[in-house]
Amino acid sequence: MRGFGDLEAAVMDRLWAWEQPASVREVLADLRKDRDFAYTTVMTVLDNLHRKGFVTRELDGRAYRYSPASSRQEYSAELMRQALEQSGDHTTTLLRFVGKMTSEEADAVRKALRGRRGGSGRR
Amino acid sequence: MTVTILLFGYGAAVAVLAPRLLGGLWQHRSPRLAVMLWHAAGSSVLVAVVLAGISCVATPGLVEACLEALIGRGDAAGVVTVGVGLLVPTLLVARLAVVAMRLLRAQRVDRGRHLDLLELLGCHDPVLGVTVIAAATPAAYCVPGTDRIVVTDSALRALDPTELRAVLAHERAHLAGRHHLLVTWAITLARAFPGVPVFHALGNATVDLVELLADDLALRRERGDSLATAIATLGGSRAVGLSSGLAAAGGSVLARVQRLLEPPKPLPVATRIGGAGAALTMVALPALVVALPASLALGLAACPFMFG
Repeated sequence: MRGFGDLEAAVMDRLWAWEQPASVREVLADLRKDRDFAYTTVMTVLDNLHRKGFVTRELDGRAYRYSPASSRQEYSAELMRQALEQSGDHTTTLLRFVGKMTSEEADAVRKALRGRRGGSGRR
Repeated sequence: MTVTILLFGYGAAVAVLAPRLLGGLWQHRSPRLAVMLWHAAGSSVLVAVVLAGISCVATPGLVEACLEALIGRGDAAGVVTVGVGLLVPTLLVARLAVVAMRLLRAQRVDRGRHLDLLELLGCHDPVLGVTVIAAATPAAYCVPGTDRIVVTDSALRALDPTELRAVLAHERAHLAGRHHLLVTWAITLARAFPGVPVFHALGNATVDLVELLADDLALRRERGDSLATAIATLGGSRAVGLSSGLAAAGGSVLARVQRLLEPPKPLPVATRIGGAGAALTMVALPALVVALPASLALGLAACPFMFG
């Protein structure tokens, strides 16, 4: 694991898999099967995830129980929407390798490449 | 007053004529020069209008006339002139600042959220030095302001090694060249003054030209046809019908591919030097228009003291 980011991912993986709210102690117990972590480390990670809005929590006795705010699929969909979106305020957030093409343009591009390959005898 | 009219006229002329003069295929032969000229034209309009406002206020005697008018003497024309002179540059700069801040804030929020999601769902590939995410759509992009390049796992499967290297070189060029700053500034201008032809054209041109700049930098190490086939693979997988409002960007990907397959001759050195000179002149001209009469006026104003 490469620091906090990976630990966050590992914690979320567990919460997604369990499908029920879990306490810091439960998450910690499961993480310790791979490697030893301090209680406070896991608590901080869950706190960060809560701050970022990835988990919700509710008080159960004296400790919080955490559950994912959305499913992995929903977050994946959001990530890809951001990655591919090319309109509105989000145009300049990321620099994409290639923008959207119309199907006509895509056909023209393929044709240009075919012409090139035929002409030069490559491939 | 003459100076003011000259400056406003110059600004208006550049704003309207620059898109016609600068547009065209020559940009593909030297995208660097094209970017320079577009931004010189945009800046010269801004400089001209701001200076026009200032010169309007600074016309000798006008401020005095204005003060006299305010206390009930003199003509009201002075008040209007000074008012307009102060208002135009102030509004212009304020508008730019507001639009820029809104855009920068949106970018910061979006990028922050995107990086959070990447931490959760992405996985670092130490060999390639990229973040890999699982997605059915082959795609690649970089997150400006970081050194992060993201590739989907389907893109890794769809591209051969030379194509992948070309894609990564292109994205690294974006990050190293800080192309997002150029794009952000261009989009700021376009959004702040959507009715002004030069700013609208400059926005679109910059978005397309930074892709050519990144392609050129990638070509220093990678093959043009690898880059071209990579564009077809990653761009063609999610082509959309004409109806989705892409008219503005239409054809730019095809032009990019054609340019890679049959590179146009770069512009002759003399033309490029001439172009750079033109860019410099465009920006300097408004300042000269102000500086010449001002220095003359200063010289004249000094005379009475010399003899007094």
